Parts: sequence; structure tokens; C-alpha cells
Amino acid sequence: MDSSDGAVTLQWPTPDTNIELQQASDPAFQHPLTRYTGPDPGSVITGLPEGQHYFRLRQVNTPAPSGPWSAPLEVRVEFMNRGRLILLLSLGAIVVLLTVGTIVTGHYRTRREP
Amino acid sequence: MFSESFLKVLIVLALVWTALGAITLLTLLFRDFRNRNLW
Amino acid sequence: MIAATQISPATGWAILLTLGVLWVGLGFLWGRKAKNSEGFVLAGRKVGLALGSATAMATWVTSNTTMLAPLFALTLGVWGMLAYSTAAFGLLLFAPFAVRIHRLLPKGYTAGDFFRLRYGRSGWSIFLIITMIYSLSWLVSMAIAGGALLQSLAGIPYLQGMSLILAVCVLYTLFGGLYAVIGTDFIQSIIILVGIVIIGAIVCTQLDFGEAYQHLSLHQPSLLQIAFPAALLAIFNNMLFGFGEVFHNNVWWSRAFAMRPDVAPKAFFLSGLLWFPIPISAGFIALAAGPLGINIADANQTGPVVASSVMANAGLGAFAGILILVVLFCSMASSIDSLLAATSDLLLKDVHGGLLGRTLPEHGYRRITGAFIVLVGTVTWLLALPQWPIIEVLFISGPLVGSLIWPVIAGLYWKSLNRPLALLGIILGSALGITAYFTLGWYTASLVGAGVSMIFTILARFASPRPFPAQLNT
Repeated sequence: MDSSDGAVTLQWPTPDTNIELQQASDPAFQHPLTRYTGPDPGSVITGLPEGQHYFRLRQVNTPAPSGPWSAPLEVRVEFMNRGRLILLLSLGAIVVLLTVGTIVTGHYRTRREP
Repeated sequence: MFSESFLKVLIVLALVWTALGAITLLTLLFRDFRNRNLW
Repeated sequence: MIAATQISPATGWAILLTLGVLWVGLGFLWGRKAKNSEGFVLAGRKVGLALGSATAMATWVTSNTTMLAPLFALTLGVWGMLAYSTAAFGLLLFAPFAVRIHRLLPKGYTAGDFFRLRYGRSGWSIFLIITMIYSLSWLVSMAIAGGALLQSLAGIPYLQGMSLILAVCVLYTLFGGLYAVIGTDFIQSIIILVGIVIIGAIVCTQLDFGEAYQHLSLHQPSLLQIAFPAALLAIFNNMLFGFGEVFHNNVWWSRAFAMRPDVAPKAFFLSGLLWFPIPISAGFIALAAGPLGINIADANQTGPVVASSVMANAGLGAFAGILILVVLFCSMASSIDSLLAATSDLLLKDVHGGLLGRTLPEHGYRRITGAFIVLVGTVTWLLALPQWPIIEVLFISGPLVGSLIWPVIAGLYWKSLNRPLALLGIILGSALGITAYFTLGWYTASLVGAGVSMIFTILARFASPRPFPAQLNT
């Protein structure tokens, strides 16, 4: 899965029991972070920095041992490259400035007219 | 990164500003009503 | 999930019906102020500053504002909220427009009048198509949001909830015309502002800022990033989308006509100032979701989910559900009524009057205006039934309305113009903008629409321009 803004919506079939969602920056899950534990059928993850992120799920059974981990899902976060960003931002600024400028000058020019 | 204090100030400012908005509208309403300028 | 603050269907119905009866009753009462069709459609043309500012602000606070602002904050962080707030600039800039509108069209009725007189039949047709797509998708997306919200908050079946919201709005608009719309908008605006402050304040008390910030910088760092590309791009795109929406739509033009000439500019400027902090006040609660361990399963429900969870933790379970429902109902109603009135006016004056050449009889005008309001309401209801993602259409209309920005400016302030060239700019801007939406990304669409149209409109000023008529007579 690819993301250009660090946001990704993860969904899974509605579980019978609670599930546990883990995140890590390596596929071996060496330093895992538990993102969510509960009965919801999905989770919206946002704010991820650029890079590779891995997610995996498992069912949490009490008191029996928890189910097996699912295969890891790789999410690649890559932001727009700087050059393109600056180009688009400049274009945006130009259009906005011209628009506002034209309105303001038009207003002051026609204010005195009958 | 936006700093913690920036964030705190931004949020508090926004909430106060929103509250002032309600007060402003009510004040104006009262004023317009008194001057019979409501509608 | 928001089960913790779910209110019973009975409570949900009670709130809806209480507020509904209140609005319809006031609609009936205030509707009697309208002594003629002009009074009904334009509230006597002398609305004052308080009511004028409130109606402009409340109409711009839609359910999208209260629902999307948290979503923007959740996905785009700090810049996301600020980007959303830039939509206020559209209202601020309508202030100088209001001056000019009163000067050029002292007895004007609709935005359609302006387009027809400045751009002829073809320009007016293009305008009508764009504004109907935009207005209907806005109306329908709010009706859908209302039904969905009532279902998730109060367990009221979608069809019943959505129908009731629409029926209430149609009824009081029908009885009371613009007087009812503006009057109820004031009450709704106060409820919205106070409600957002209460919810925001409660979230603040439940939040340890230091801890929350730590959590965000560790697990959701992009949200705090200053150079976050997606969020930065949203700023200009949102601004231009907002310009396009406000500059062209009859919802704002009709308000300008309804207010006194000296009041209109001040009211729009004030409304912009009042609106600016709302996306931040309503949106920031989404930043608390991660730190407070609140899981968001459906991005569209971010606002209500976080608000309910936080308030439930504060021991305010049922109160939370009621408050959220009331605030959201008011933000929907204040926009739905304005859209119903403005869109039916446009159809009435422009199609019935302008296109078909029929006059509005002073005797029995209420039946005709009423018919148009019911027509628009019915079409909305039918489109809202299948619960399609109409909000996508609303976003796609960004480049469409964006391409109208410069033609409006030119028509208001310039002396001459190559009209066919300007109209070509609208069509190309719309087409290229929609293409950009699907190929480059949503955050470029309105920019492309506005930019392309801007180039053509500027060209139209210098390449074989023909003078506009000196006087605009409606």
C-alpha cells in the first residue's frame, strides 16, 4: 500500500473477539507498537512519517492463547517531491495573490463611481 | 515541527475567538433591536 | 464506536421534533412579515448587521465544517485545520463585492441576474449548470450526513432521520421565506458557536497537552510537520474552492440583496472573522484521538466519535450525545434552509421568469415560490435516498466553481471584456480542473480550475474586448 500523506485506512472483517493491531518499521516487528486493541473492524492511521511501515493483526482470545499473527501489510509513505511541491505552492500563491489583488484594486477604483 | 506552546496558544485562541463571536452577535442583535434596525 | 454516548431513538426524536416545531413555528410567525413577493424572497431588503452577519456565518458553517474539520486535522494535522479556516477569506472578500453589487444592481434579485446581464444567455446557462451541480450536491451531502448522524448517534433509521431533517427545513422555508431562514439562522449560529466552545473546552480539560504532544510527535509526527506537503497544498486549494463557492452562489448574492446597502459589506466582513476560528475549534479534537487512545474506524465519523468518547470519559455521556446532535442539526439546518431558498429563487426568477418569461403575480406568489421550494426539496430527497457518496460530487465541483471566480470579478469591476473568450475559460478551467482532480490529486483541482480561467479572463480583457453596457437594468 502506498500513501502520499501518511494516512491509511486499515480494515478487516468484523471480529468475534477483540483483535490487536501492531505497527513496526521493520518486517520482523522487532520494536512493535500496539496501535489498537478492541472489537472495531478498522482503524484510520494518520501522521505516519516517510518510510516503510508494517502492520499485522491477530485475534486476542481470553483466557486461551491469542491467535496467530496475520501476514504483515507494508505501507510505503512517500511525500511529494520538493520540486513539484514548490512549483504547485508557487502557482497557488500567484493565483491567490492576483485574485485578491484584482478584487482590492477593482474595489478602490470603482468606489467613487456612481 | 510546530511547537507545543504554539499548538496550545492556537487552540485556546480559537476557542476564545469562537466564544467572542457569540457574544459579538448577541451584542449586535441587542443594539439593532434597540435602534429598530433588525430587519 | 460511540456507543457510550448513544442516545435512545426516543431522545433523538424528541430533540428533532422539539427543534423542528420551534423552527417551523418561527417560520410561520416571521413569514407574516413578508407583505409581498420581494419581502418573501429578499426579507424586505433591509436586514441589519446582527442578523446579516449571523446568517452569512451560520450558512457557511455546514455539517461539513463540523464533520470535515476534524477529518482535516486528523489526516493533515495543524496545517489541515488552518487550511480549512482559509475558507473564511471568501466571506471577507465578498464584502467589497457587496458594495459593487448594490451599486450595479440596486434592485437585483439573484446571481443569475448578474450572469445573464453580463455574459448573455450562454454565460448564464453555463453558470446555471455549474451552480445547480454545486448547490444540489451540497444540499444532498448535508441531507445524507444528517441521516447518517441520526442513525449512528440515536439509532434512528437513515430514511426517517434524513426525511425529517429535510421536511422541517422545507416547511419553515416554505412558510417564512428569507425572513424565516435568516431569523432561524441567528438562533442556530449562537447554538453552533456555544456548542463548539463547550465541546472544545471539555476536550481541553480531559487532555494533558504535554503528553498529547509527546504522543503525536512520536507516533503521528507528520501532523505536526511544518513542511507537510499534502497539508500545504490544501491551503491554496481550499482557499480557491472557498472563493469559487462564495463568489458565484446565489446563497450569498441573495443575502447581499437582502441586507441594507451600508450593512452588507460590514456583515460579510464580520461573518468571515466570526467563521475563521471554527474549523480550528471544531477540528483540533481529532488531534486528541491518538493521545487519548480513541480508535477511529470510519474517518467520516471522526468528529462525533472523538467528541463522544472524550465527553463520555468526563462522565457526560448522555449530555454529549444530545449536544453533538443539537450542534450538528443546527449547522445542517442553517445551510439547508439557505440553499433551499436561494436555489428555488434562482429557478423561480431565472428559469420561470428569465427563461420562460413568466411574471410572478403578487396575488398567489406564495404558491409558486412554495412549489419551487418543494421541488428542490423533493429532488434533494430523491438524490439522498440511495446514500451515494454525493460528497465526492461536491469536491469535484471545486474546479467548476473555481473557474467562475475571475468571470465574476471581471463582470463586477471591468469595463470591457471578450465574453466568448472568458466563457471558454470557464469551460476549459472546469474540464482541466476535473482532470487534475483524478490525475494529479484533489488538492490541485480548484487551483487548476481557477488558474486556467484566470488566464483566459485576463486575456479576454486585452484581446478584442467589447464594452459592458453602462447600466445594468434588471
